[in-house]
Amino acid sequence: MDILSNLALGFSVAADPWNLLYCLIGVTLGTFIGVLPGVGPVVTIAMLLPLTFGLPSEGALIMLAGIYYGAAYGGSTTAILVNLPGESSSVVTCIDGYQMARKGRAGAALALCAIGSFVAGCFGTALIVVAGPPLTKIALEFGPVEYFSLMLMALVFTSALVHGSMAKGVLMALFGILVGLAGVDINTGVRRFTFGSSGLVEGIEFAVAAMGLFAIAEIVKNLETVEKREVFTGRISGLMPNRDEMRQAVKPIMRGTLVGSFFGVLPGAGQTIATFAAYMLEKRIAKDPSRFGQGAVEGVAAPEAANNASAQTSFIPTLTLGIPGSATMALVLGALMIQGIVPGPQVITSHPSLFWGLIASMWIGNLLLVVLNLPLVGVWTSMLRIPYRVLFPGILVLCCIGVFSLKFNEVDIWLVALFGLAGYIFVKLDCEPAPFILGFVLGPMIEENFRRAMLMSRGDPSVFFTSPISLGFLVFMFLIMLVLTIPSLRSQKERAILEA
Amino acid sequence: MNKILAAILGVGFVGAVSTSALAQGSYPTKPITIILPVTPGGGTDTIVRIIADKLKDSVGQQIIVDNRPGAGGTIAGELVAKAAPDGYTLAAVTAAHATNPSLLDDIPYDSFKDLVPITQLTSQPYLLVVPNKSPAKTFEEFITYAKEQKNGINYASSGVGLLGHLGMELLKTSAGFKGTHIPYQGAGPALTDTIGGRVDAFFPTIVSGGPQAAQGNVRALAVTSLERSPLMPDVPTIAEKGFPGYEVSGWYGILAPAGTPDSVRDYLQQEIAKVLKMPDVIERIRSDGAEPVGSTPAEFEAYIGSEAEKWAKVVEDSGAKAQ
Repeated sequence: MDILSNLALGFSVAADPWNLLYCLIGVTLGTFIGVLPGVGPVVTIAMLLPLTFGLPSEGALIMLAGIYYGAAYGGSTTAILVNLPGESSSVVTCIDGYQMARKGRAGAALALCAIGSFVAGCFGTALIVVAGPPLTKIALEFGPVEYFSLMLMALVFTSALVHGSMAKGVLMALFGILVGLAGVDINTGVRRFTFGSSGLVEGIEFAVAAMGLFAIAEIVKNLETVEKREVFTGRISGLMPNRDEMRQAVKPIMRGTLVGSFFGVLPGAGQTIATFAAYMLEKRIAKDPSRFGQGAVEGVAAPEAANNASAQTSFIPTLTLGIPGSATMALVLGALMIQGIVPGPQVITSHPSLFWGLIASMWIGNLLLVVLNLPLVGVWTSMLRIPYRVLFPGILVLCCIGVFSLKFNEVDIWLVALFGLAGYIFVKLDCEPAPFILGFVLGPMIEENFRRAMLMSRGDPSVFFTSPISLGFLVFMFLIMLVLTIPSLRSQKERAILEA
Repeated sequence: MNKILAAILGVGFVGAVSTSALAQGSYPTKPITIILPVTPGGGTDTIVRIIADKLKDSVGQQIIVDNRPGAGGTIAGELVAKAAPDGYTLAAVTAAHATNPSLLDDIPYDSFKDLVPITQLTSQPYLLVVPNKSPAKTFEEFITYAKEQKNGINYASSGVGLLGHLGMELLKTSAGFKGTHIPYQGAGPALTDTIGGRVDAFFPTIVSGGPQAAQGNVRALAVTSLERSPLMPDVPTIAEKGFPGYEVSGWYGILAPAGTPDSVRDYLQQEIAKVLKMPDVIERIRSDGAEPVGSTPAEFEAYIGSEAEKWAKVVEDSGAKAQ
């Protein structure tokens, strides 16, 4: 099989000692930069891009792949340790990962992330080899109409299935959409909700909202109850997951991998939906859903696996079309231009060693991460032993540096403070920030695809029902909503929540 | 009266100091910063960094490339417009510099008075692509097809107000067909929907659309430069297909704050023009689907003026401006 020999070529490139070294350097640097608050993979790659300029093109790309993995992992690390998602796809990891850390299982959560990612990465690579080209055809079936219905479904599910009242969840998601819409309207160029500030013209950065709602709000909340926090720092038991946790994680990792693989193929949907979908699936099928949000192993393992599986399978449209499936992939392919290689579908045929070397090194980078991570878990968790009065000013300062480095815009720092205040109010009102952040991320995409679909159909909304894929999503969404609102079933849901 | 006199004396004095400083061969005595309106990693960034790297050797000073994206390039523009006019802070701009004044109301500086040209770096044509399932096999067939559509065609663009959008609006009025603008965020998603056949046409740059055409994912019907592109010599120009003078060119250029001494501008233009003649630089610019230019400040000023005028009319006619 042609594609197998290609992959063999890829591994021979990636296994070159120098390339392995570049990969290792990339993973290490990526991890350390990625743990800076608010600094996700895209920012990390942009920051470290100049390091690769002097390298041969294979080495450069392999190092970038390492940086990507390291940074993604670094983002999960801060999500677990300090409740600070580095990118939108690690928001869900915060929910249970941070609770695990509070129960002294930070090491286990970190190790599960790496293991789950690795398993998913292996599967994703295999899927590229086996089913890449046919899956691209599916991706091309998705236009604005289909994306709209898919995203609407994702948003409705997530907001309906969070803790507590469905009304609160839906309202939080709507509020998130509203805030997410700030900035230039892409159809007309009109500035919306910018209040005359040039800092808001490009919209609000995800990192800004996430930092305020999660990290800052958590710090404020912790400062209210000093003693509780000391219990948290005192109890760190075992760095590795125990047998029980491993056993609990196996199936969620498998399911997360499948969910992630599906969403990764769709260039417009991406990793965020994949992680939320994996989390929701676990919660739905769990015998005891009330454990979710309290440090459930499945709530960490499944989304992390989904995240990585979708990162890997997002190569599939890139592979056959030469069009990057995510912002990160765009940056990695953009780096090719520095090397004098024009990105596009011809890269695969004209530079096979480069392309397949990259795929292979994504896998190797993942493997190195697991190896590297085992000793590092101790380092990260020891961070939690730092007294909180020393730790929290450090987090605050790093947050300011991280957010300022995004756009060199001081408005962003004020916004973090504002979101911090909002986050604290949400906590007091018992409103979860997760639906807000999902609305914030998906809202603008839903709007964009809705209006694009309307432009194409000249304002005829029937397109959402005549496309079979779109109709499928909408019917499914309607059915689930019906189930949730039928009174008898609803009281069951409330009972489950009361038990929590 | 005294104020005017003082101003004239002041300008003369500053000018005299600068020229004499230059005469002693002292400019540049410290690193030069080029502020870019884009994020690192894209086409503009790559080309400017390559040129900056070569320029560093010829002027004997570090060149710092500072990325300040945002607000359609006006954040970077404002920084340079308000910087000291001493030749140590320069702006790298794209074609948006000439179109922004007709698209945006709140640019915090005067694009044409507060910034003065040094040289045009590159010129980059666009490519008209249609999906494989489109009935149009040639440019003429495309025009015929577009005119036949009662509700008009759907055309994609990389963003509202960008040249791919304005260029199609210009073609619409020149050829007399109707079309709905479907804006995307960047060329990637726009190309995906063109390949998928959801839109009828798209103007990507040669560097993003060319490979897709070569691979047979889309059909390339015409280029938007006056001359055929050396990268795709078989593809005709729109100008030669019955629309003489039709031209849509993206470009990059270097500007300085108003008041920068002519001697400094001329010096920089000459050094940059030399860099643009280096074979490896030419090769890199061509691989970006562009051609090196290196015009004088006066030529560049005239070009920016004519571009601004041309697109202002298209913006006005098409209602592309945000209301």
